[in-house]
Amino acid sequence: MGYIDWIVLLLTLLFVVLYGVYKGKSIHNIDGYYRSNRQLPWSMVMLGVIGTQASAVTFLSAPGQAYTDGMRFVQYYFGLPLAMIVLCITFIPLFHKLNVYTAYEYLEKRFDRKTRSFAAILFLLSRALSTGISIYAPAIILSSILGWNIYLTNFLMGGIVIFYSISGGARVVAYTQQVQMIIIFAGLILAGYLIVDLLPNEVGFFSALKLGKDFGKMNVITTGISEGRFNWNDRFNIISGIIGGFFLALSYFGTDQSQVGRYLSASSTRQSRIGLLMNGVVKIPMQFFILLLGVLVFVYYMFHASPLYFNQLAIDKLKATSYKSRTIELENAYKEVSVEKKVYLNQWLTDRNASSKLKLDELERKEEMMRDEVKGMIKASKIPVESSDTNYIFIRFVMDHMPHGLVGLLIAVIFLAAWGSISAALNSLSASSLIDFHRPFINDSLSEAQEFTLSKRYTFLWGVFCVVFAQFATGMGSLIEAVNILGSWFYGVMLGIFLVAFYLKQVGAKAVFYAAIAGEVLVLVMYFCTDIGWLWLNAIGALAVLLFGLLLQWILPSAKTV
Amino acid sequence: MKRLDKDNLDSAPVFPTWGYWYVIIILLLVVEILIFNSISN
Repeated sequence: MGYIDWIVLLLTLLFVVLYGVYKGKSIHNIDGYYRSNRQLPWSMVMLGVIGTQASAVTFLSAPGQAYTDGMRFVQYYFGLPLAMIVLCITFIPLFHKLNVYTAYEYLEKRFDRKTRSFAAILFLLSRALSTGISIYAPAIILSSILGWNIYLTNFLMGGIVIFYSISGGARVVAYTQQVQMIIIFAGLILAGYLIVDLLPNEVGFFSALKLGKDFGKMNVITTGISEGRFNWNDRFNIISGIIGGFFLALSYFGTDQSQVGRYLSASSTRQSRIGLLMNGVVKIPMQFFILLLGVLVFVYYMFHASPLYFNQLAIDKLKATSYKSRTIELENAYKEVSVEKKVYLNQWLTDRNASSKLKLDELERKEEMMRDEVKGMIKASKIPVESSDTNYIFIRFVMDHMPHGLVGLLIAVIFLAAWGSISAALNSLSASSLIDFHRPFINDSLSEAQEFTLSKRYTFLWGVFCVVFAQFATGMGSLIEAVNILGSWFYGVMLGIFLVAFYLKQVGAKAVFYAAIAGEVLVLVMYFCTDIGWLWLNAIGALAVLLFGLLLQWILPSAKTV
Repeated sequence: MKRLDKDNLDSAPVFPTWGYWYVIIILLLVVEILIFNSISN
C-alpha cells in the first residue's frame, strides 16, 4: 500500500465515523436509539437492510466464488423477493400495529413470556457469535494480505464501530449505512471498469463475458439434477435457491432483530414495505454484478499468470515446512502452464479451433489439480491458515493490479461493509437485551433517561464481547465454520414460531413451545445423520414447527389455554 | 350489457393496492431468471 492509499483509507473511515457521531447527537431516548424515532424514508430502510446483510466477507468472498465456481451462487438469492412479499403482507403491518421494539415482544403478546425469551436467546446467541466472526473473517484476510497484526486488525474492524454505534444507535446505523453503501458501490463500479480496462485491447466487456461463458463461469442457472436425480446436497441451484432461499430470507428478514430493527425505523408501514420490496428488486442484480467481478478477474488471469495460491502467507508458511521443495516445484510448473495456456488461448481466439479449446480445458484442469495439491499440503501440514483461498482472490487481485488510491478505497470498502453489518448487529443485540430481558426480568420501572444510559451500556458490552470473541477465534479455523452452521440450525425454528403465531391462530403457547423444541431436534438429526444441504434446514425447521404445533395442539387440547 | 355505473364499480372486487407491487416483483423475478437462463445456455 502506497501513501496515497493510506490517505484515502484513513480519510474515508474518518469521514464515516465523524458523520455518524454528528448524526447521533440528536438522539436522547430509546425510541430514537432503537427505532430512529420512526422517521426514516424507504430509501434508508432499503440501504439499511442491504448494508446489514452485506458484510465484508460478501464483497471478499463472492468474486472469489464466481472465479472458482462460476455465477451460480446468485441463485441463492432467488427466494428473497418472494420472502419480501410475505413480510409486507404479514410481518410489517403486525409489528407496526403493535408498536414493538423487537420482533420477540410480539411473541409474548401472542403466546407467553417463555416463548419470547426462547426466541430472544436464540437470537442473542447466534447473532453475537456471528458478529464476532464478521469481525474476525475480514480481519484475518486483511492481516494476511497486508501483513498487519491480526489482533490490531480485529480491534480496528470491531472497535471503532462500537464508538460510533454507541453515540446514536439506530439513527447513526442508518445514516452511516447510507454513506457506506454509496462508497462501496462507487468503489466496486470503479474496480469493475478498471478490470475491463486491464484486459488486452481486443477483449472488451462483452467478449470477456463470452470467454467466461466458454470456460463455464456464466453458469447462472443450474438445475441441481444430475444423472436424472435431484442432488439434495448441491448448495446452489434454481430449486434450492427459490425454495431454500425463500425460507432463509423469510427467517433472516422476519425474525432476526438486526434486520427487523431496520424496517421498524421507517416512518410508516408504507415506507417499510417499499424499503423491503426495493431490497427484493435490487438484491439479485447487485449480487450478479459482484459475482461478475470474479468472472472478469478470471478472464484477466487467462491472459496473465495467476498466483498458484492467492493467500501468499499460506505459501510462505508452507515453504517453512517439509513441503518446501514440492511447493517450489508446483510454483514453477504452474508458471509453465500459464505460459502454455496463453499460447493456446491466442491460437483459439484467432481460429476457434476445437483442438485448441480441448488443450485449454486440459491445462485448466492441470492448474486446478495443482491448486488442489497445495490445499492438501496446507491441510496436511496443519499450519494455522484457511485451506481455501477463495476469499483471497479478489483482494489479492486488487493489491497486485489496481492503481494506488483505488487500493486504499477498496480496503476502506471492506471496513465499511463490515461496520455496516456490525453496527446494526450491536444495536439489535442491545435492543433485545434491554427490551426482552432487562425490562421483564430485572427492572421494569426505570426512567427514560436510565433506560437510555443502559441501552448505550448494552451496546458497549456486546461490542466488547464480539471483539474479544474475534480475538479468541484467531487460529481456530473450524470455529468459523461452526458458527456459520449454528445460524442454519436455529433460523428455521425461529421462523416456524413466527409462522405459527401469524397463520395458525388455533395453536397456543404450550404447543408451539414444545413444537419448537421438537423442530430443533429434527433439524439437528437431519444435519448430523444426512448429507442434506444446509439451505434446506431452514425450510425443514420452519415446516416442522408448523406441523408439530398443529399436532401437539390436537393431542393436548388444553394446551391453548396455558 | 350491464351498465358500468358507480354502484357496479363499488361492488366490484378491488385488487389490493399493494397487490400490484407484489405482481411486479414476481414478474421481475421471472424476467431475471429468463435472462439468466439465456446467458447460461
